[in-house]
Amino acid sequence: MNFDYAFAWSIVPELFQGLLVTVQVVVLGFLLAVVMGLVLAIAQLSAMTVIRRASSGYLSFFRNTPLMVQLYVLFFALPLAGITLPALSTGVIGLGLYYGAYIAEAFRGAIEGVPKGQWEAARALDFDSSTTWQRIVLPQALKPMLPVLGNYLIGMFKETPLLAVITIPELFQAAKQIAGMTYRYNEPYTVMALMFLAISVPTSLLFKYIERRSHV
Amino acid sequence: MKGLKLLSLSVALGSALLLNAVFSVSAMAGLLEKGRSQGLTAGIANEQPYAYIGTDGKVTGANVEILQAILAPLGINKIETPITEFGSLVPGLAAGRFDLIGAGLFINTARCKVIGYSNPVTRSGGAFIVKAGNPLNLHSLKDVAANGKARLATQPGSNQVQEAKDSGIATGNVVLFDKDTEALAALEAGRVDVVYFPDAEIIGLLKKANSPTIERALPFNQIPDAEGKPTWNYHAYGLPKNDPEFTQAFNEQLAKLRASGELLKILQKYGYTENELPPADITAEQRCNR
Amino acid sequence: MFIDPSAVETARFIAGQLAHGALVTLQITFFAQIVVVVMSFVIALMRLSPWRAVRWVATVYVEILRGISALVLLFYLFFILPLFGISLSPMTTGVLGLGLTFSAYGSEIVRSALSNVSQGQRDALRALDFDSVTAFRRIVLPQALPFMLPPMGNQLVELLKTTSLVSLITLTDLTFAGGQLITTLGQQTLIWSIVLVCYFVMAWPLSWLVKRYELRVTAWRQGNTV
Repeated sequence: MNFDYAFAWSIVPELFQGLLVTVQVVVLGFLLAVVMGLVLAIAQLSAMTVIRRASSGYLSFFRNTPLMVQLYVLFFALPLAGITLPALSTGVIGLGLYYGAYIAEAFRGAIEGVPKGQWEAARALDFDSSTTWQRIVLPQALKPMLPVLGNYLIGMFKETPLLAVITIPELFQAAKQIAGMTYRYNEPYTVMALMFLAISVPTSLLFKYIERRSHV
Repeated sequence: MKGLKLLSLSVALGSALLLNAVFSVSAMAGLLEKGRSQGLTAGIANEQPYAYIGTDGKVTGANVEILQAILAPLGINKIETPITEFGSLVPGLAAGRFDLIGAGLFINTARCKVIGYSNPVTRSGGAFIVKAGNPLNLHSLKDVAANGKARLATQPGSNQVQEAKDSGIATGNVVLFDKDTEALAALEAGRVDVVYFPDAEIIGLLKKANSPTIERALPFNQIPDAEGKPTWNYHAYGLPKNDPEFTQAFNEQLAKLRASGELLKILQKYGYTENELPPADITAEQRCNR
Repeated sequence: MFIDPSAVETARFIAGQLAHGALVTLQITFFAQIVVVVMSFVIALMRLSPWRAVRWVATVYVEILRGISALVLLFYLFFILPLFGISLSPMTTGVLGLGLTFSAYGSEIVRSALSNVSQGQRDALRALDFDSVTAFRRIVLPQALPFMLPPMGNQLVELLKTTSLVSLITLTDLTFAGGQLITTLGQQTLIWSIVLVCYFVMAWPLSWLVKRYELRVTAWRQGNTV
C-alpha cells in the first residue's frame, strides 16, 4: 500500500480543524476536572460523614466504569429526562466529571502530604478555615501535583477520540470521515497519529522540564 | 517457578495468536466452493429494513431474505451475519473480514474502486424525517443548504454525506451518527433539524419509533440530475472484487428471482413497492462507471 | 401481581446478549493482560540494559505507544495493517492493541519498581556471586513485586474499562452488545444503566483487592501490624 503524500498534504487543513476542536474540548474539560478534583478531595477530608460517603460513592462510580459508556449516557439518556446539552458541552462535562474523579485522588494525596505542622501553625496563628486552605495548604499541595496533573492532561488529550461517538467533530472523527468517503485509510490515520504525537510528546517534555526546574 | 510458568504459557498463547493471524492471510478461495462447504459470512449493520436483529434475537430483513433466496439454489445454505457499524462494511469487505456485504449499500464510484457489487437489487430515493409539522419547511437537500442554520443528521461513510456536501450544506451542519437510530434520537432531542437516509430506511425508522412528534417530510424533491430529472440510488450486495465466478452465479440467481416475481414478493413484505425495482437491464458496471 | 411474560422474554434477551458481551470483555482483558505483563518486563529490562541501542529502542517504544492513544493504535491495526497484507482477526487486533498500549505504561511501573530495590541488595548479590537469573528470580523480583502490584492492579482495572474501545472495531464486547440492544429495542437509559452496572460489578472487586493489598504492603513499610 503506497502512501500518497499529495493526498496526505491535502487533508491536513481538514484534520487541523478537528485538532482545534480537540484542543478546545481538552482545555475546558481539564479546567472542569481540576475544579471537580479539588472539590471532591476537600469533600473526602470533610468532617461530615454524609459528604465523605457521597464523594466516595462518586469516585468509586466514575473510576470503575468506562468513560465511553458515561458519555453515551450523558448524550443519549439525559435528553429523555429533558436535559439536552449540545455535543461540545456534553463532551466537556463528560471529561471533567471522569477525570475529576482521578484528579481528586491525586489532590487528596498531595493535601495529606502537607506536613501536619503547617496545619497546627495555622491554628496557632488563629487563621480561619478558608485562609488556611487558600494561603497555606493549597499552595504547598499544588507543587508536587504538577507532574501528575500533566499526566492527566495528556491522558485526556489522547482520550478525545472517544468524543467522536457523541458527534464532536474532533481530530479522530475528521480522519474517520475522510477515510469513510475516500476509502483511503493510510493517509488520514497516519497524519492523525502524527498530529497526536506532535502535541503529546512536546507537552510531556514541557511538564518534565517544569518538574525539573521546580526542584532546583 | 511461577514466573517461568506464566512466561511459557504466554509464549505459547502468543504463538497461537500469531499462527492464527498468519493463517488469516490465506488467499480468498472461490466463494462458491467455500459457501457450499463452510458457509459464508455477510456483514450487516443492524438497520431496518435491510438486515437487522428482530426482537426475538434472530436476523431478519429484506436483504437477508433475498440473500438466502439467491444463495440457496447455489447450494449455499449457511450464512452468518456478523454485525458491524455501517462505516466499517466496505473496508471490512476490502480487508476480507467477511465474504460479502448483506446490508443495504448504494453503488457509488468511490466504493466501486474498493469492492465489487452484484447487479442492483432495489433503487431508492432519499427521504427526510423532520419534527411534526415540518417547522423549517424542508423538502429537499437544497432547502437545507439554503437555510444556513438547519442541521442534517446522517451516517459516516454513507452516500448521503457526499450528497449533502454536493448540495451545498456546510460541513458544520452535517452531524454524523454511527447508527440511524441515534440520528433519530438526536432529532427528537432537538440536536438536529432533519434526518436524511434512503426512503426504505426512513420508513423503517418511523415505524419503529411510532412517535407523533416526528414525521416524514412530504413532498420530497429528489436530487436532480443535469437535465433536472430526479436521480435514483441503487442498492446492491457488496461482493469481493476478485471472484468473477461467484459474481456471475450471484447475478444469474438474482435475475431468476426477479423474473419469477419472488423478489418483489419478499420486498413487499418489508414495505417496498414495484416502484423500487430498478430497470431489469441495469448492471453494477453501468452504475460504477456513471 | 403478574409479571408480563413478554417483559420476561425481553429481560432474558437483554441478559443473554449482555452476558455474551461481558464474556468477550473478560476474555479480551485476560489475554491483553498477558501481553501487558510479558511486554512490560521485556521493555523494562531493555530500558535497564547496559547497551545504549537496546535502551533507545525501548524508549522509542514507550514514547510512541504512550503518545498515541489505544483507540488510534486499534484503528491502525484494524484498518491499515490489512493494506499491508496482514489481516488479524478482530479479537487478535483488540488484544494486541490494548496489550501493547498498556505495556508502555506497565513497563514504566516495572522499571521503577526494579530500580527501587536498594543498591545495598545489589552489592550483596554481587559479593555473594549470584548469577543474574537467580539473583533476579530470588532476590530482586520478590522485593520489587510489592511496589509493582498496586499500580499494575490499577492498570488492570483501566484495561478492563478500556476494552469498551473494541466495540468500535466491531468486537461484540459489553459496550457493543449494549449498543446493538438499543438499536433493536430502544430503551437508551435502561440499557446503558445496566451496562454501567455490569462494568462496575466487574471492575470494583479488582479495585477493592488492589486497595487492600496496597494497605497491607504500606502497613508493613510503616512498621504497623496488619
